[in-house]
Amino acid sequence: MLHDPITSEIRCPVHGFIGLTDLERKLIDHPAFQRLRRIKQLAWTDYVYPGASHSRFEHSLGVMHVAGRLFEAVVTSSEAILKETYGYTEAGLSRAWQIVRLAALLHDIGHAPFSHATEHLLPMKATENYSLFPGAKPIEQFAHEDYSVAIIETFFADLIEQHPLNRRNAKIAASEVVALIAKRAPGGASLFWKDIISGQLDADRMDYLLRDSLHAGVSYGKYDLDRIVASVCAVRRPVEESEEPKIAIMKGGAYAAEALIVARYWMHKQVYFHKTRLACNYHLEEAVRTILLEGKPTGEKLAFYPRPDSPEQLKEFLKWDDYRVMGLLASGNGGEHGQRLMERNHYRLVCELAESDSNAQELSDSAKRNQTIIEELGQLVKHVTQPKTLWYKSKASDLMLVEDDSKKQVGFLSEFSALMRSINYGSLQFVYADKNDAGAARELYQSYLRKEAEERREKENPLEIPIEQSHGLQEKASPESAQLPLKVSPSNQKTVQRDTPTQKGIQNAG
Amino acid sequence: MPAEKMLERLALFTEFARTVRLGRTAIMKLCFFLQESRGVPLGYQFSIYSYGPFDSDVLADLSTAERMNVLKSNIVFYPSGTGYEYSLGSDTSVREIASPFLTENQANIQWVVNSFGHRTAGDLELLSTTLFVAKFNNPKDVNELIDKVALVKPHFTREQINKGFQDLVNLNVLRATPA
Repeated sequence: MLHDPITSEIRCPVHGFIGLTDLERKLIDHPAFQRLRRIKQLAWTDYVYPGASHSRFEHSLGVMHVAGRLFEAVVTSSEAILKETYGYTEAGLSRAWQIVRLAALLHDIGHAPFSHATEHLLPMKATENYSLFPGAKPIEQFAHEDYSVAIIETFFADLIEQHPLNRRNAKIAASEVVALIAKRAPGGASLFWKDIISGQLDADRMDYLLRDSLHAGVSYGKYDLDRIVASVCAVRRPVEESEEPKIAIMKGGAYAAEALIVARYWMHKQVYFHKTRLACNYHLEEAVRTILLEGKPTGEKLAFYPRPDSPEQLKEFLKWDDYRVMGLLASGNGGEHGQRLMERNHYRLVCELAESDSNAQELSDSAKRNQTIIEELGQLVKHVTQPKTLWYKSKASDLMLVEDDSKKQVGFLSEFSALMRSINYGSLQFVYADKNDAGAARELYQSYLRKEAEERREKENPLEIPIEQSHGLQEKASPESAQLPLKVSPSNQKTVQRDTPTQKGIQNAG
Repeated sequence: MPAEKMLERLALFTEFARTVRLGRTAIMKLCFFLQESRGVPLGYQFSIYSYGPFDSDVLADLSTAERMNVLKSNIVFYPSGTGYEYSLGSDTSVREIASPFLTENQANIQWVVNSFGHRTAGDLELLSTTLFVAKFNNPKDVNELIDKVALVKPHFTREQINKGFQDLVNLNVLRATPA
């Protein structure tokens, strides 16, 4: 495929050499993009995995590279559909390639310091009325994508639109780049390519799984990127909806796509939801809140980063990066939580409370039970978190599979993959206590488990297992159960089902 | 995801399945109308994709509903491929567990089923996209709304989009003149 010439290259630890067009190079050189070098991809995860100190800068380059590869692969496999639907010429495809790569490159440019860890400190949107919709806008928080859009429109529009090559040839507008990132509806073919930036099988995930895995020094995030790239195509799906094409995967790549889903599952289990990482995220958010509250009236509890809706405020926002926060923490401005981070005196995990997802009644019961446990632990509990970013967002249950040659639809990945169907989707609550109280809290929690086991035994089968043995079983089973991601089969389930608290959703923090 | 919210979503699916046979994309659109037009707090975050408003959580929840036997899916054959429709599964306990939610939102659920449950896939795609553009692109008048929907969905004519807009006005989802 023809596109603007690659004029420079950057060495990437994941993808090798990443080629850059002159326009891309100009954007990368902008201070707002260079700021991403000072925003860590995984916040404080290097307290657990010391190698995981990579930045949004290298991730953004990687996403651009993968997005370009996916684009080229779709064009190679499905050029006729794209030309027929969107009227693409060779030049039009070349132009779209550049738009997709720019959107991928800039999609994370609006991240706050430490990426997702402090995004709860982004401000609330202004309330205003809709024009044609009867009702007021609900109060909602800005997301980092809103900042990305504002930064592109404010600081990158001229750079993109006035670039000599672009002005002479493609005439790409910044609004076309924004269309692939913003929540609001883009037009025409943008809707199709948006899937590559943030879809079920997008370049963002494809890059961060490999990159985070590499830097953390774990293997959980690995999958066969080349096979996926070789398997993507565009198909029409007239059965259920419109004739708009959609990105699908050829059957030959189904196992690679399945591996990507499983990789994301493992990375959440082992890295993103690591107990210490989650504790540090909490301390960091509170420390930055303390910093932002400085100078505000006593008693004020709300503080936010500068807003994205004016150039002046955006400039102020861009002054916030990890270096600035770290400097303030080192100066003792982060309050109690900042101090805890500096001394690695984070809260300690007492227990992980799972919600059973085997049936509706168990889900309801386990939620009530978790609440009871938290209440019983009382004042010892310092923090409870239930991560909202669920790994199953990438479940790709609507990822369409097609025949390799005919491109005829054969179903969805979730139907094809028994492995995906059997993954445990239940969510977790992480309960934390102060380091000095953690032992007492865990003991209290164990007492609860013993009492519960005793009550259940009395109710169900008092003669089968003495209480001491029952408890012993639970202690042994717990770490193993915590590692069991899959309900292998109904028959195997029976073999691991003991009447112990772990089967009701509690996992021992150890 | 709090368990309570998940149970409410599952109960909602049973309410749909009890009254009409729907595929996954139709359920997606009904959830969208219920949340974005009637303000029922389902906790979904819809973005616009190729087939209109979409949140992968809806699909994940439908899978959960199937696994819990709250719903069962039935394959429907078309000349160009296969589709799926959902009906009630064997475990109906979720209706009892989430009965306060169902009671509180009964009128709105009934409204969304009556208004959109029997529409064609094309209709649902057009109407949901029109509502999405009206809410999130904030057009200043009807002409701009039609322009923007036409950009997103070029295979619909301006007349079709205008008719869809009028449908939504008649259903009190949108208003005819700007505020």
